[in-house]
Amino acid sequence: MKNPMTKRLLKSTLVILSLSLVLSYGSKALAQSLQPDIIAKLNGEPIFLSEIEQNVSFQVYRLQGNIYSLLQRETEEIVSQKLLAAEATRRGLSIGELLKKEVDEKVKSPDEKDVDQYLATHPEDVSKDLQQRNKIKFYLFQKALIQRKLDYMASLREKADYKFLLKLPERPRTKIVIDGEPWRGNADAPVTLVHFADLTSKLSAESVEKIRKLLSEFPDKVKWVHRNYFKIQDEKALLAAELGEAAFEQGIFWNFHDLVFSRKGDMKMENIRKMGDEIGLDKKKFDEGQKKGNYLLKVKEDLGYAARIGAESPAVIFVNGFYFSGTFPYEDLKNLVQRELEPKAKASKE
Amino acid sequence: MKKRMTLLVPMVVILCVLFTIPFASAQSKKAPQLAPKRLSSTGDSITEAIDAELPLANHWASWVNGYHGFWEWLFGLTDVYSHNQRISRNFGAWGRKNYMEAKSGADMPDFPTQAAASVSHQAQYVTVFMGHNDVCGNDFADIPTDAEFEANSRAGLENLRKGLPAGATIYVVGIVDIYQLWEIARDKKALGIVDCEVLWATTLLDLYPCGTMLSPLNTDADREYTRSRNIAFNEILERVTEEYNQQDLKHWYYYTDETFKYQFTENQVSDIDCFHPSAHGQRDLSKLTWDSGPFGAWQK
Repeated sequence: MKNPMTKRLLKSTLVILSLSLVLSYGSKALAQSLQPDIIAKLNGEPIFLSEIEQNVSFQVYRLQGNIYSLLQRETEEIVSQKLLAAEATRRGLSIGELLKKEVDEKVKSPDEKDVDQYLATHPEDVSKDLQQRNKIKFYLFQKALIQRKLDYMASLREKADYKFLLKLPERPRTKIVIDGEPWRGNADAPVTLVHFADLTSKLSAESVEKIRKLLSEFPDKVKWVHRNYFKIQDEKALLAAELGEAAFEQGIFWNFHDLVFSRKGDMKMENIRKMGDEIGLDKKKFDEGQKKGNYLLKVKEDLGYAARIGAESPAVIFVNGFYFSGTFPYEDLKNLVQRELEPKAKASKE
Repeated sequence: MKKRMTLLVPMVVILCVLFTIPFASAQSKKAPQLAPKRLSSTGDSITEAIDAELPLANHWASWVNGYHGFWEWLFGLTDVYSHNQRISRNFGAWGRKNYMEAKSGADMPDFPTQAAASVSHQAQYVTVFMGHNDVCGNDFADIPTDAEFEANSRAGLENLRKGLPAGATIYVVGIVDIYQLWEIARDKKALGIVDCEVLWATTLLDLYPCGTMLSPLNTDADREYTRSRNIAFNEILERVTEEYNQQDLKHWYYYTDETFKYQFTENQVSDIDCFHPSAHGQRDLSKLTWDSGPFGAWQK
């Protein structure tokens, strides 16, 4: 049996040892949490978040956007309930009584004149059917009740001090791979537009027009890269994309591109083949390459890549990595390019 | 006090007996429920999975009839794990049939015809997911009255009652909250993903979808009005389904409004048309309707 002194020494040594173990583990964990960039390890080698984000940043942004919207909607619902409850308490009423006084009792039911007035602006609904007039009357009355309630809620909100403090997530910059893809414009331009487009779609043709306009407004400032993006089962789009790949191989991609887009998405299968002939495409080479599946492989690679970086609906233009849907107006695209040409943006890109 | 308790306990027991016996006896009198081997879906473009993954109908991505075979796998299409797939997994592939009576654009007046098709297939499990096109019209006068909507729902259910084999299951699924689809379109625009109004004007075969909710001319009150009709129609579906379940001892009826309550998120709505559920949305529809449905206990 050891003496009490030794026992105490042993005890304190043990305590110190376990504390240091806890601390060392804790500090390791802390150190790890201070390095949020490392999200995984493979055989001891770190995998960095920034590596992953290069590809999926836009998808992460969409998810963040979902969270933002859900929280915003739910907050507004709760705010409305709280405002109503507070006002009802202030006036010594239940919420039901308050709404009856402020909404139901303040709306008069529509009469035949109101229905006639509605029909004057909606001639498509004019019918001798009495049921139709009743439906319109019902709609007008319900709408008036809803409008009154909305106005009342807006008046309560106006009097209150309400701020929604969350901010919309910022649109990320995705690193887009463009090596070996067809491009035009200035090779060293400060702005690179990567157009994920369906050669046979009207929407893509419209975004091509926007890019053309941009090139004429900012000559030498923009490099335009094309990548395929369409729905895999679209036979017309697939054939056009394969012909595009063959044209690229033969050095005449942009001739084909411009010819196809000049039809603005209005074309038949046999016309697409003819367009290859029109630009002088070597048909024999194309047929051989198509038979071997060379072009299909290349197209599939484009489609997979587009889906991976979050382009879900053609046409999408990445402006120095910023997602821009071709459905938005030209002015928005121009503003984005102008912002990228500002010195600060240039620095952040570098 | 003690005397009051001695009276209270038997009274509670008597009340419980009175309320549970009729219910239990009504349920026990029902024909034994058939395994849902022969599936038949009635519905509209949502059941046809229009624009879920590729333009137009995407039957493999339907929440109820979807499938995921070799070609779907090869093309990397989404596996929505539909009711059809769940049935095969839980009840076996032997004797399986998968019928889709649903048609894009169908509304409640089409339900009796689709129900007749389910009957002709002698379905053992019929899903009813209709009413979206009743809520969605070109304008407000197109939205049916409660009485019209109810009459059409009853006509369809009546066809099923008369013609389905004893023990068949009818599952009525509430209309989704169409107002929420509009909100999501607004979110998509705010996030810079896509301007849905442009897509609505140029896709869906140049037909503007759901004017009563999505028209840019609508006021907030208009949209709220359409939503109120959405809610009213679901209430009718719930009441009528319950009534049939009580009165028809040959068949089993179920209703869920989980589809209305479900909060779709931006990526669950099609990027092709900004309106129909995407394949992700269809997958979630499948899960939530299965879990809250008649065979939710089967969870393979």
